[in-house]
Amino acid sequence: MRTRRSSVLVVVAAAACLLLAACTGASRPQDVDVAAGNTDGTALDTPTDVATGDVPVHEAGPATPAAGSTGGKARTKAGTGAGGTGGTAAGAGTGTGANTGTPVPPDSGPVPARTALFNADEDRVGISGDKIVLCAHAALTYGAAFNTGVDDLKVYFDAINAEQGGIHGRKVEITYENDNYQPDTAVQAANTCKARNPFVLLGGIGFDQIPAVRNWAETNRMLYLHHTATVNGSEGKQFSFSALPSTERMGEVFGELAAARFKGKKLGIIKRDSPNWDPGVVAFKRIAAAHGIDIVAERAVAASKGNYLEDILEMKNKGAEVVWGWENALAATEIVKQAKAQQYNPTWLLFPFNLTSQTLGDDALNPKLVGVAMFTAYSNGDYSGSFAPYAEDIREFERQYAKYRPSADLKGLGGDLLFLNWTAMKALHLQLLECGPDCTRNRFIDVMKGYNKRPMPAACQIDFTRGNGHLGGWAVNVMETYRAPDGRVNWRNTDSCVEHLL
Amino acid sequence: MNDIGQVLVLGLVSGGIYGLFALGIVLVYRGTGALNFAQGEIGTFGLYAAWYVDTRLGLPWIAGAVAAIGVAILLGLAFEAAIVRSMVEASRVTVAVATVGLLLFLLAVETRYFGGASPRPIEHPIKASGVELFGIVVSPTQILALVLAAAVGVGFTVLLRRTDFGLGVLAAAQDPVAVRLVGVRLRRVSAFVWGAGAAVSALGALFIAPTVGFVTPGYATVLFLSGLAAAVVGGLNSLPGAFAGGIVIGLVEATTGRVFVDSSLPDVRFLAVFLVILAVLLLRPQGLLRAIGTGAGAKA
Amino acid sequence: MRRVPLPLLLAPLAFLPALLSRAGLFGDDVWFNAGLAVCYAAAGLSLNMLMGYAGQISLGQFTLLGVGAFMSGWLTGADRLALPFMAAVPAAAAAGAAVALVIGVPALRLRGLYLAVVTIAFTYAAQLSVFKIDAISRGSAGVELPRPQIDDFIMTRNADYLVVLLLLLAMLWLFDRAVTGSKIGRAFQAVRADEAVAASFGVDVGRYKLLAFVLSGAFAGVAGAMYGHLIQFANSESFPFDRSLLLVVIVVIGGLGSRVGVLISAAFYALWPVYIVKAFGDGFRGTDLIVGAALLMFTVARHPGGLAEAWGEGAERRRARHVEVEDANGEGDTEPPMPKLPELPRPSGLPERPAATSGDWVLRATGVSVSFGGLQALRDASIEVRANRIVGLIGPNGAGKTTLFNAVSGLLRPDSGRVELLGEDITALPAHARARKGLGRTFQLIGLARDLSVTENLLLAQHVVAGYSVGSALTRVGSANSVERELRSRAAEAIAALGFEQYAHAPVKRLSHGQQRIVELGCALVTAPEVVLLDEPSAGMSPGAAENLAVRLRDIRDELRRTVLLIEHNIPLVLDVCDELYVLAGGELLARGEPLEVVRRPEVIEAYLGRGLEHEAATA
Repeated sequence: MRTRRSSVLVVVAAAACLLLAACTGASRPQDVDVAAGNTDGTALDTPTDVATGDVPVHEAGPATPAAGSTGGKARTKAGTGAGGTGGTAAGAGTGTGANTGTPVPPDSGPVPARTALFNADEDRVGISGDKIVLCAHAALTYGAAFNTGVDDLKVYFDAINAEQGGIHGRKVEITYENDNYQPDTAVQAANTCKARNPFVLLGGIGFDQIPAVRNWAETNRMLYLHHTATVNGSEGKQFSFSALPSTERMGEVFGELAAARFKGKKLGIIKRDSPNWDPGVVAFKRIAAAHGIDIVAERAVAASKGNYLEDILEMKNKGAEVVWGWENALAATEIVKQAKAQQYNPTWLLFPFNLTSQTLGDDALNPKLVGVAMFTAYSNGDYSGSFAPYAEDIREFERQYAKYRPSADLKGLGGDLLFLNWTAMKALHLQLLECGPDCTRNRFIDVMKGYNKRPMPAACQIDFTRGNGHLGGWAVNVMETYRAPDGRVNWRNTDSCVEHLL
Repeated sequence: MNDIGQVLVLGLVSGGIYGLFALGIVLVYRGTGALNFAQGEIGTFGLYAAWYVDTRLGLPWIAGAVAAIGVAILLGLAFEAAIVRSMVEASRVTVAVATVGLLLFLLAVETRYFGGASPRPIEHPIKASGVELFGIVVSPTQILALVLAAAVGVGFTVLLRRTDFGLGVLAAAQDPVAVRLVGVRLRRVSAFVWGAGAAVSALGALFIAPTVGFVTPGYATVLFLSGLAAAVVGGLNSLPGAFAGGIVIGLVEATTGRVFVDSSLPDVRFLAVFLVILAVLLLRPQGLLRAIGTGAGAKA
Repeated sequence: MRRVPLPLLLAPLAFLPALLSRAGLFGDDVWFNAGLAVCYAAAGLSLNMLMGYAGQISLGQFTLLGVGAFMSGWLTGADRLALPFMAAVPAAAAAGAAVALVIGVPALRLRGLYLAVVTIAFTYAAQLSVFKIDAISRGSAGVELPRPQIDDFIMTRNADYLVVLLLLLAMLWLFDRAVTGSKIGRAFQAVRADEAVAASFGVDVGRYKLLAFVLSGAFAGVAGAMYGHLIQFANSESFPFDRSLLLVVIVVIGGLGSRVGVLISAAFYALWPVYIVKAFGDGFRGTDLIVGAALLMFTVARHPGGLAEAWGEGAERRRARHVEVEDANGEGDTEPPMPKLPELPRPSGLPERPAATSGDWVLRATGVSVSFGGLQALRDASIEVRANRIVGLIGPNGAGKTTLFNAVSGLLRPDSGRVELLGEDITALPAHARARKGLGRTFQLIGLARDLSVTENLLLAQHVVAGYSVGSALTRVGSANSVERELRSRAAEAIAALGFEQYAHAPVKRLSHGQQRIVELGCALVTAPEVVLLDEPSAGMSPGAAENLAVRLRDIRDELRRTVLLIEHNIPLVLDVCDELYVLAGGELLARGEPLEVVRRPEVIEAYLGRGLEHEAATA
C-alpha cells in the first residue's frame, strides 16, 4: 500500500520534471551545416570574455603585422591572403576598418587548419550558414549590484546583426547563463550552454567558477574562452584560452606598481582568503622581495566579510602607508569607506571599478585611489586626456547604446563594465572576422595561437605566441581616480597597456 | 598597552552590538522558547527600508530609522500571525526551523529585489566626528549603540519582571495552556514578543550599519551568530546576561583577533566564539551568569 | 521483508537515461540537471536519517558531502591513486562517517538547538581551515574528480553517469529501508519522539544518537562522491554553508521521515531554478529561493510532516471513511473493556535473572533524595516492593511520586540513595540498562512513540531482545531477519491477545486515550519484565474502564506472576487492588501500610484535603 503509492509518486515526479524540461526548449543535438567557402587561414586572436570581461588592450604599434608574425607561418598562400587580413589588421589601428564589415574575399580554396584538436564532427559546431552561436556563463545575479541586466550585455551583437548582417553573413546569437558566482552552478550553466551547441563557450569574471569550468571543458571537449584565472591549474588544458592576464600576472603588476611608485613606503595587504586568489599574492610578494618593499601588515579576509575594522586597525597600527586591497570591487569599496571612518587614509591599490569610485565619491579623491586592470577606463562623456586615444571606440559604444539600449545606465555604477564587455565583444567580432567565411573551431584556435596584435585602441596587445599558446594577456592599464566633467568620481588611465612598470 | 586598549575598545564597541542582538534572541527565547535564526536578517530587512527612505526619498536619518523599526515590527508581527500561531504545539526545533525559513526568505527577497551584495550606503545618525581611543576612532554611533543596548536591556528586564504583562510573557513560554486559564491573552503576548524582538533587531542593525558602511543581504546574520553566542554565554534566559554576554563575546573576538594575527587563520575568531559556546554548553549550560528563577531555558 | 523491495525492481530502469540520450531525447544538460536532483536526493536522505528519523539537527550536512567528495577525489585522481570510482564510494562513506562521529560526540550531551550550533561551528571550521589545506583541495587548481570508467568507456555523457547515480541512490534507498525496518529505525524514532520513553524501552539513547550521526555521515559521504563526480571538480569554495541550509529546507519540506517526500523536494530544488527561468524568463531568477523559503515556513507551521504528511493525511482521510474508528462514539461508557493482557513467555534474548520467590523484595529504593535547583523534590524516600504484589504509591500533586519513579527507573540521577532490583544494585545503571534487567514502566502522559503504529510500538518495546548487530540490520545478512520475524510474531500475538488486530498498523496517536493505555500496558509487558512501574494507568478512564483495569492488574499479579508498583489518584481503584500502600507528600514518605488503614490516617487525609476536613473525611 505504501510502496505502491510511493512508486506512483516517484514516476509521476520524474516524468513531470523531465517533461517540463522538454517543454521549455532544452535543445537536442543539432545537425551542423557544413560551411562552404574558403578560408584565408589567418590567425584570429583576442578571445575575450563577456559580461564583466576584459578588454585585450594592445600597445600602439604598427597595425600591419609582419607576415611572419601572424598565423601565416606555415601557409604561404595564407601569407598573401594576409593582405586581406592585413586590411582588417590595418583597420584595427583605427577600428573603423572592421566596422565596414567587408567580407574577406575567398582565397583559392580551403586551407586545412593546423590545429587538429576537434575532429570533423566537432569542428563546425555552432557555426552554420547563417548563424554563429555563442554562449556565456556569468554571475548574472550580481548584475543588479552594477545596475546591469542581461539585455544590456547583448547590445554589441544586436548592432552588428542589424547594421552589418552579422559576421560574414552570419547572425550572431549569444545567450547568457547564470553561474551565481559558484563553481557548481557554473558547471551547470556550462552544461546548459553546451546543449545549445555553441561555437565557443565564454567565461565571465569569476575566480571561483573558472577553475571548475575549464576542468569541465576538457572532458566535454568544449572550446572555452575565459576571463582571468590562475595559471596554476591551467597546465595541460587543451580547450581553454584566455586573452586576459592571469591572476598571477595581475599580482605581479600590482607588485611592480608598488615597487615603482611607492618605494620606501610601508605596505599593507588585505587579501581575499581563497586559494583562487592566493597565486596573485605569491607573485606580488616575489616582486616585493626582489625590490625591497617593506610589507608591514597582511590580513586575509573571508568573502563578504562586511566588517573590516580589525583588518583596518592592523594596517593602521603597523603604520602602512600604502595598502593593496586584493579583493573584489564590492568588498574594496566597503574597506575604504570603513577606513575613512577610522580616519585612516593610506594610498589604496585596488581593482579600478567605477562602482568603487562613484560610491565613495569625494572619499575616493583624497588621496586618489590607484588601480591596475585588465580593461581600460571609461568615464561617460569624457573623450579627452587619456581617453582620447580610444575616443572613437567610446563614441561608437555610446552611439550603439543610445540606439539599441537607451535605458542602459552608462553614467552610473556599471558603465565601465558595459564598456569593457563591449570591447570584449568587439574584439571577438574582429577575431571571428579574421577567421574568415569558413571559420571552424580549429581555425579559430589557429588564429588565436598565432595572434599577436592589438585589435582596437580600447584594447591592449594580445600575444598568444608566448608561452603555451593558451594565454594571451600580458599588458595592463594603470589608473587613478579623478573628477569627471559631469561631477562624478571615475577612473582614468595613467599608463596604458604596459607590461612592466620596472 | 596600546594593544590591550584597542582590544578593550573593540570588544566594548562590538560587544554593544552583540548585546543588542542577544537581547532580541533572549527576549524571543524567554517569551516563546524558540530560537529565532532570523533575528539578524529582520534587522537587515528593516535597514533596506531605511536606506530607501534616506537615499531614495531623501528624508532625514530619523525617518529612515522609524521606517526600519516599523518595517521590522510589521515583519515580526506578520511572521507571528501567519506562522508561529499555527505552531503552538510544535517543538522548539520545529519553530527554529521556521525561523530558518524566514531567514532564507528575507535573504532571497533582498537579493532578488535589491541586488545581491550591492552596497547601499547608510549614513550615520550623528554626523559628529568620533572619539579616538587608543588609536581607534569610535564614532558617536557606536557609543550610542552601547548605551542603547544597556538601556534596552534594562527596559525589557524591568518590563518582564516588574509588570503583570511581563510576567504573563514569561509564564506563557513555560505553559501556554495554563496561562490562558489565568487570563493572559496569549495572542497579545506572542505578538509583543515577536514584535519587540524584531524592533530590537532593527535597532541593532541601524547602529551597526553605519559602522560597516553599507547594507548587503546577510551581513547582520553574521553578527547574529556572535549575538547567539552572547546569549548562550549569558544563559539564554537572562536579559542582563545577554548584554553582559555580548561584551564577553566582543572581548573574546577582539582578543583572538589580536592574538592570532597570522593571516593564514583569517577567521579564527569565529572558531574561538564557537569554542566558547561549546564550552559553556557542555560545562555550564545555565550560562556564566545565572538567571534568577528558571525561565524557558530549563528544557533546552 | 518478503516482497522484493521496490528499488531493486526499478533498478533496471536506471539504464533508461543512457538509452534515451542516445536516442536523441533531451539534451545532455537536462540529464545533468536530473543528476543534480539525484545527488540532492541522496544528500537529503542522509540528512533525513538524522533529522527525520532520529530527530537530531545538523546545519552542516553539505560540508560532510565535501568530506566525501575530497576523499573520493584523493582516491580517483589521475595523478593521485587513480583508483576506480566504485572503490572510492565506500571510502567516501567511511570518511563521512568518521567525521560525523566526531560531530556526534557532543550530540550526546546536547540536543536540539545547541546541537545546531555545534554543527554550524563544524561547518565554519571546515570551510575556513580544513578544506583550504592545499593537500586536500589543491588550491586554485582544485581537485579533479573523473567520471567512472569501464576500460575505455568513460561516462562523460551526463546521461551515462546518471545511470550510476540512480543505482547509487537505489542502494542508499535500500539501506535506508533496512534501517527503518529494523530495531535501529524504531530506536531512532523513539529517540526523536521522547528520549525518556525510548530509554524506558531499553534504547541506549546516547549510542543511538551517535549511530544516527554515523549513518547519516556515511550516506553523506556517498552523496558527496556522487555530487563531486557530477561536477567533476571540487575546491575549497565548492561546499558553502548555504547549501547545508538548503538541505535542511529540502528535508523539512519533503517531510521529515519520508524518503519519497525528500526525493520530490530535492528534485524541486535542483530543477526549479533552471526551468522556471527558462519557462518564464529572467524576471523569475532567484524566485526559487523565495518560493522555497515561503514553502518551508508554511510547511513547518501547517504540515510539520512536510509534503509527505500532507499527502498522507489526505489518504488517511479517504481511508478513514471506510474504517470505523472508536472516536466516533466518543469516550465513556462505550469504551471497550480492557482485554486480557498478553501472557508471553520470557524472550530468549534476555540475560538470566534471579528468580523471585514470594515474600522477597524485588525492588527496593533506599534513602532517595532529589532536588531541582533550590527545590527539594524528594527527601530520603524509601520503598520496598515484594514479589507478586501490587503496591500503590499515592499522594497529592507535587508530592514527588513521578520523581521517585524517574529515580527508580533511571531517568533521573538522585542526589543520594540507592536502588536495587532483584538483589542487584542498579543505582549506577542508565535507564535502558535497567530495562534490560527487568524493569518495565509506563508514563503519566502515555509513553509511546506516537507517530509509530501499534505494531511498531510493540516491536520497539522489544528492543532489549532484538539481538542483532547494526551491520546485520543494514545488510540483512545474519540474524536480523530471523530475529525480526520473531519480534513480529510476538507483537502479533500481543495484538491478538489485546484484540487490536484492526489497529495493528494505525499510528498510535489516532487511537483513543483508553486504547493507547492498553497498548502502553501491552508494551510494558511484552518483554516480560519482573517489575512494572505504572504511572497513573487509570488517568482519563471512565469508572467502568477503571474497574476493568483493576481486573487486569490482578491478572498481572496472579496469572503472570509479576510485581506492580502503581502511582494512582483513583483511591477506590487503589483500595481495590493494592496489597500495600505508600503515601508521599511534600517529597517525604508520610505513611506506609495496609491500604484501608493507611487512607484513614489523619495525616494522610490532611495531606490531601487540608485541615478542618479530616473529620468529615474520616466519617465518610
